[in-house]
Amino acid sequence: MKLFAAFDPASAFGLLAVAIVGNVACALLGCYLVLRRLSMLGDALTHGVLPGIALGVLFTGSLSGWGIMLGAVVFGFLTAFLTQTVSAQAGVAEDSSIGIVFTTLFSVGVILLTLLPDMHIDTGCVFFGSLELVTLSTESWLGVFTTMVSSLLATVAFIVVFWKELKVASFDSALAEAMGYRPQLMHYLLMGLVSLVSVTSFATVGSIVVVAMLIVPAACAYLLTDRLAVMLWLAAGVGALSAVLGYFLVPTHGNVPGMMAVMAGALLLLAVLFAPRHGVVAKVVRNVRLALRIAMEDILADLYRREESRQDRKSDPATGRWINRLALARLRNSGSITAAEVGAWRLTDRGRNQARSLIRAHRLWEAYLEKNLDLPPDHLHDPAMRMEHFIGPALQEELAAELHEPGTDPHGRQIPKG
Amino acid sequence: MMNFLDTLGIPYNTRIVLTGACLLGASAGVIGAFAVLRRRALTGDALAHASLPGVCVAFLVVGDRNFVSLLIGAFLAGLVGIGVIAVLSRWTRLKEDASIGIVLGTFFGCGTVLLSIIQRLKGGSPAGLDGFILGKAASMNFADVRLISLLALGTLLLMTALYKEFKLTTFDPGFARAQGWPDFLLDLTLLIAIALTVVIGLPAVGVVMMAALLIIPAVTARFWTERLGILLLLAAVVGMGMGAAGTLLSDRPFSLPTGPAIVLVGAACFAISACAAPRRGMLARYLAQRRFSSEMEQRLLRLILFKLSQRSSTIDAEEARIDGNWSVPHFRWLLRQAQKEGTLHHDGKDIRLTAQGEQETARADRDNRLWEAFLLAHPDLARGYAACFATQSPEDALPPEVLKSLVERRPSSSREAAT
Amino acid sequence: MSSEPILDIHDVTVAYHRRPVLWDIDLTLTEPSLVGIVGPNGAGKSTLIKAILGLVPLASGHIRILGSPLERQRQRIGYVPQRESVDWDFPVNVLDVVLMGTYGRLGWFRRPKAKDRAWARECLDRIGLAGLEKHQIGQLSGGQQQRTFLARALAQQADIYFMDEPFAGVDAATEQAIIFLLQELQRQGKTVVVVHHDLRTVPLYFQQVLLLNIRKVAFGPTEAVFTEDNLRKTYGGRLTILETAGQAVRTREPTP
Repeated sequence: MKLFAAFDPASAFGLLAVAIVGNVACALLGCYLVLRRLSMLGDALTHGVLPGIALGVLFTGSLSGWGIMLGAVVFGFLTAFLTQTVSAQAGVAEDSSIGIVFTTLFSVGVILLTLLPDMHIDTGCVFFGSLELVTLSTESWLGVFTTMVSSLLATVAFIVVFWKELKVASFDSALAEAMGYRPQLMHYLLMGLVSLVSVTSFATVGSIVVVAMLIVPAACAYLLTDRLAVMLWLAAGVGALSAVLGYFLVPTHGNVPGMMAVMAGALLLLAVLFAPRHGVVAKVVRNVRLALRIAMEDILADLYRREESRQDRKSDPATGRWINRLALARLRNSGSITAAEVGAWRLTDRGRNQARSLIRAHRLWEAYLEKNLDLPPDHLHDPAMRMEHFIGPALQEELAAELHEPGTDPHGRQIPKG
Repeated sequence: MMNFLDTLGIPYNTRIVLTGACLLGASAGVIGAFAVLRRRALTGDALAHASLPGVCVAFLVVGDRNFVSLLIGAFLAGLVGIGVIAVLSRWTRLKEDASIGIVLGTFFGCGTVLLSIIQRLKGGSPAGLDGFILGKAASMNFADVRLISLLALGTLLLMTALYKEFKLTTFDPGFARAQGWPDFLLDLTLLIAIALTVVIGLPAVGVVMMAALLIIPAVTARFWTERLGILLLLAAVVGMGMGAAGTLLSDRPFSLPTGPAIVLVGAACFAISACAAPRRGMLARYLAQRRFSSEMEQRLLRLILFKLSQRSSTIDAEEARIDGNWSVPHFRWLLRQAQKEGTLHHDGKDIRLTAQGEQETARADRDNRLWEAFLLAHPDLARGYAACFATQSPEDALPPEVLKSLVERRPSSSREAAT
Repeated sequence: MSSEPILDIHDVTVAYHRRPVLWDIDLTLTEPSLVGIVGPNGAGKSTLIKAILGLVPLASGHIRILGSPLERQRQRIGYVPQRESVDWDFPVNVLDVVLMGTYGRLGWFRRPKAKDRAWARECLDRIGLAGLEKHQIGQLSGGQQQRTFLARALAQQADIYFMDEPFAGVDAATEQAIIFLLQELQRQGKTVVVVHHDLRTVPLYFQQVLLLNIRKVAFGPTEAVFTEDNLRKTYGGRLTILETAGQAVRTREPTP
């Protein structure tokens, strides 16, 4: 654990600050990539900018500064443009087109890098990143940090200035186009920024982990909220949090950027499981609740029908699935049913009222189906069994009004009054 | 083969690499063709990235650089990655592209952490494991080539055995399922084949280049044929060519890195095909589009000239221009074309049709009316003939009995009839 | 009324991959009205709307709206795309979507103000969605989603609207609410062009109708143009629905 091992503020917090700023910038842009289904184009960009970096280094002789920025943005545009051209003009499927363009540009970049043997970048460095190298000297740290902060500021400025335009172009690009906004322009600006941010992150976290930092926090936020602004804030938070967690939880001498990606993945897993509305647990709970309600209502309706036909309840309804047993227990606890002896369940007055509403919904629905869909009588019961749980008092009255308050259902049984 | 290459003065090491690269290219080309056709082009990429933690775990567990155990680790991790992609895109509101990106990034991140741990445990070097990401084709040895040959053989066998089944599920999975074919199992077989190809190819060409080796041959081959069988064959040839040419380029005097060289050869093949392929290429498409537009314009010009010529024998050029909404230079160009074909005389202000021109414009008007009559009489057939409307005469395009019934109805002039 | 036609489509041809989807469409709309576009699947109905809005390139011909090319009239045009064309999981709420209608008027960089928000709420109110403004759009029913789109169109305050199948897959109440809104727009002197599927309601909803099957089959006042003969020319003779539709024409009543 690094937590106490290397607590030299100059390096520790410096390093962390760079990572947080970079991750936040990535996460913000990533939201738009995820929403516009451009995640893989984002991946392609992080590879496609490599020739730009190599050329930038070749011409300026420096690993940082405007040279590689310019090169990256130019090649970022080129990646986006070529991908689109190959898929639109040559009729290649979009994912194939992405695959061809980024591998080709990346190869060009690798070959260009071999022309720069004395510069200390190689493919390995590009892939893995080397956050630790940043702190080797204060001077280089400052340089990296300033660049990082500038690209974050550029990202924030872009989102704030084009907030409305980005929103409409992402949600409904046909409308944006019809209104005279240029969704294509938005697309290329976004791609330019992604290139910029990934090149600033290259030297620190590496090209693949940039992909994780672009997409994972955004995906996480997407599962947690239904508002765009909230999603951006959450994504930024998840990005920053994965930086912090990754930094402190990494095994000694472990690869910090990789750990950040792992932590982002862990946070995503939590979101997948526990997100309030879209999470797996929430969905399971909702389904179980619904199943329980249906089981309870089925028991009530069943008892009501037996009462109607003067049959005693002999078979214990709780012998079935666990959900039936649970339903029975809950009905008894809420005082809707009682048992004089074991297994002989009866409705209480309270339970009878509840059951009456259900039976009314069931039989009204049967009557409605018969009138409007012309179904044979033996095809009415099953759909009504499903629908009775969802027809509340308001809808019951509407049905009754439309059917002129029928006294009986198609099988001749009485429809209870509401 | 070996002897032949020997006589060309190619040293043993290069021959090994050459054979390996060719066979790998051919297998990846064939398997990749199905991946591309099933819209899974980037699955190979995700798989390649996702296999890294598997390699590392295998290394940590087995404790040495046993090649087979590393491959098994890579294979299993890759499959887990694919499984996670499927789960994320099916069970959550995340779309497939985001799911691929998530797996690619986090699995790879996890791999780098494990790699750094191994580096610390074994001291200094990453024990050659980073070769799995970057690819070290030049260090391919006989055992590697033997494995790749097995892969190629397996691919060949798989394709011979299940060609029909793969063809069906790729083209129409719903139909295949309805016919009782185990769609899921076939899909899984294909996925496993992709995974095997990727993990066997990884040490040779690396993560990024592996994706290229899967995608480029198939997409390149697609430009030249409409038949699946030929597509597979062509993809194998392109893959093999990529391997061969790339390896030779990585040797002296060029000395390029092998993986990128292979990709660039493929990219060149792709670019040439995308531009120059006879029907699907961009040049062919562009020319066809140009021809279409100019045919459409000539047709419109003839219709307008016919309409105006019914009023007087000399046609006011400006009136025709405005009717067609053409710019002055463009209209002049159109008239020059028509003049060259001998349909009209044009003195700057007035247009006079030649005898040939009168015939042609009358024919254009007749065709137009016949098409219109056809559409009104057989609206349900309209879409099937849409491709012929603008550029063909109904007399060539329609079955004779349909045509006869239309002529008998004597359609009135199209433009008036519609309003 | 100004002498300029509201919509002037002149010899327009649109082709995808050299296959015409619209061919020599020529029509002029002069009176503000509710216009229905009907035709079989693949007849080019949606393509016509997209062509008018500049979303697909024209192979030949030209289109003028209120006397000028589209570019100068964008703010006077409202658009309701098909409901399936957008991602309903997108993280925006109902009010956000309706506010997008005001974007065209605001132009680059300016943000919607409280005044625009109030206007968006009023639009929601008029289409019967008051109280749902904070809902995420994915939670809405199909009919409510369609109404949201209509409210957005309303918020555009356009003079001429183009709607791509606004009645597709909606419940009866929504259909009523939409048609009520369309009629109100028409009373305000606006023009609404609607791609429509249900032949039975055409004579009830629209004053003018365009029968389209790649070419224009007929265009004009509904009672003159929406005839069994023209429908047969548009759809062919095999559809039994034509008879019900033809009957609807005669009785001017919707069949049950």
